[in-house]
Amino acid sequence: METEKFINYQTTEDFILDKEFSYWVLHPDVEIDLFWESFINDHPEKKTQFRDAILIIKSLQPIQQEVPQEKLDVIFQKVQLAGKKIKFNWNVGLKYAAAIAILISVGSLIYLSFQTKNQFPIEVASEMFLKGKVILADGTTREFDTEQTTIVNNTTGNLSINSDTINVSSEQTTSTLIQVIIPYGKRSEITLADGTHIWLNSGSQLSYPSKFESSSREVFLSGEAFFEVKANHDQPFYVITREVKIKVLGTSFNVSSYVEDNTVQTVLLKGKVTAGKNKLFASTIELIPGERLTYDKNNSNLLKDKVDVQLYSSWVKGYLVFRNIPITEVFTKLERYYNRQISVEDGLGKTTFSGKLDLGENLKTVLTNIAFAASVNVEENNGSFIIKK
Amino acid sequence: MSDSEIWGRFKAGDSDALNLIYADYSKKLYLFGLKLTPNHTIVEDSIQDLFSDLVRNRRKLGDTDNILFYLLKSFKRRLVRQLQKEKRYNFKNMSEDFVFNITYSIEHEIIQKENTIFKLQSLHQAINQLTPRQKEAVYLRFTEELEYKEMAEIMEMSIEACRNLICKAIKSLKDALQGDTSILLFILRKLV
Repeated sequence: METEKFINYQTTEDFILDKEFSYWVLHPDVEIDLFWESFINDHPEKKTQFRDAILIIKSLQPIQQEVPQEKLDVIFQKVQLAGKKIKFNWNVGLKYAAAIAILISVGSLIYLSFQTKNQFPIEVASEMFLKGKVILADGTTREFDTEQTTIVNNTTGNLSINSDTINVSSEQTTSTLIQVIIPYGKRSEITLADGTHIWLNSGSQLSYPSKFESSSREVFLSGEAFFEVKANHDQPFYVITREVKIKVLGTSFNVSSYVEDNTVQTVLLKGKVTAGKNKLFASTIELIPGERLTYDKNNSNLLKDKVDVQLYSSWVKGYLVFRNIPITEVFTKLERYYNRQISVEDGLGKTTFSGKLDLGENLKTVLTNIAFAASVNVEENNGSFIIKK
Repeated sequence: MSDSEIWGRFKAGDSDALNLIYADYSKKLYLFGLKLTPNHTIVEDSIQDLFSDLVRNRRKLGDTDNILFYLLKSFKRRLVRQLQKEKRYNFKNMSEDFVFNITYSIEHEIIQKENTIFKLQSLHQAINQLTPRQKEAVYLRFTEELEYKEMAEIMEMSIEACRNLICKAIKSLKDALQGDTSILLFILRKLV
């Protein structure tokens, strides 16, 4: 960045039309923030033009519509087929016509089954539900209001919620899903018919078929869950999130895939899993215990590293452990867990926190403990909290 | 990896490169398409056509150091052709007839500062009053961040005309922002 060029700028337009300037407005960067901060300090007479320029560029960003990702996935399938067109040779054509017909029908079957499998169950914004919910395969809904809800699916196909047994009609197919929705501030422990144990964290959803297919067990997750999967090599277990698909071979691990988070994280405690990007059949990566796989939604990269697994699984036991974690991240977790708003004053983005928090205590006590450790102040205001320097 | 490297790999038949390109740009094309028509099916068909052709003809494709621009250009041409077909007649100067339809947001953080609300309302109004061509130019420049040279090709006009289009649009927005408040009050009174 050269100050000289900008010193000559007189009008709002000068700034807006400058490529470096508009790039900075659209892609803020701490270092360049500093450059502009000092520039405006040195040239206060340009402040109005400068601010108007930022305002105009920002206002020119449109509200984008929702893009139906499933449709784009289907289109991609067709595009890939376009590259593999079968050339038909008429001389030997008739002889092979039957074989080709079979090929094509098998092809479309695979294609169709891909389509249904890749359909991600519709996500409902969890915060809209004050109560937890189970939506059964036939569409009926059961609500519950307990802090910690126990859901057990037994082998006969019946389901119990906090020991209330629900008899589910016998017309179950593998294509109908049972959906469990846990709002912020609540948690649930689910036992599937195959014996798999799942702890579902606040603000999360889990969908699973009322009866698993014979070849695989697939569950869909949005939010965070800890899995203890019953091993069965003939029927691998898959956890499918919007972006990442995890194949499990009898094991315990934690998956965090909140829609509002920028990453999807898988942390393995025991056993073995392989995981990869959901959409494009990219190659999968194998995890061994103690490893974490992070999918970055911004650039679609997968990154593997070693972590302290305790930090990712402790919530199941009712406490959270942090080690040098930005306090803003700590508060996001607490907001979900307690379903209360915690706002952080500017300038605290770099403050980190290490320690163990007991989630059995009320939020105010927990925040007071953090405030003490991280030397910040907590203010309570109408049920929400503000963290100050 | 740079755009020209990814593109080179794609041309050489690397399926990972295709995955990457599709994942990165299909959504952008979709959003751009919806600015030209509300018809989702036509937008989807055009995306499929575009990529299928790219895959089929990958060996014959030219080089590019800006994949987004390359795709946008070809995509727009296809989409407009499709839209023309749909209407079953030809436009003399079709570009003007396709409304570039955008809804703009105004940043929350700024709105909260009270005395800027009046300014913002007039800015917002001015943005919505830009012509479809101006909106398209502004979108390509400030959302897709293309160079004038690339914009000019997509919009099928000269670089100079493109630059003028943007300058004029920006000036009208600035005037709205720094304009005479009495006119503003008049407008506001009419709205109440």
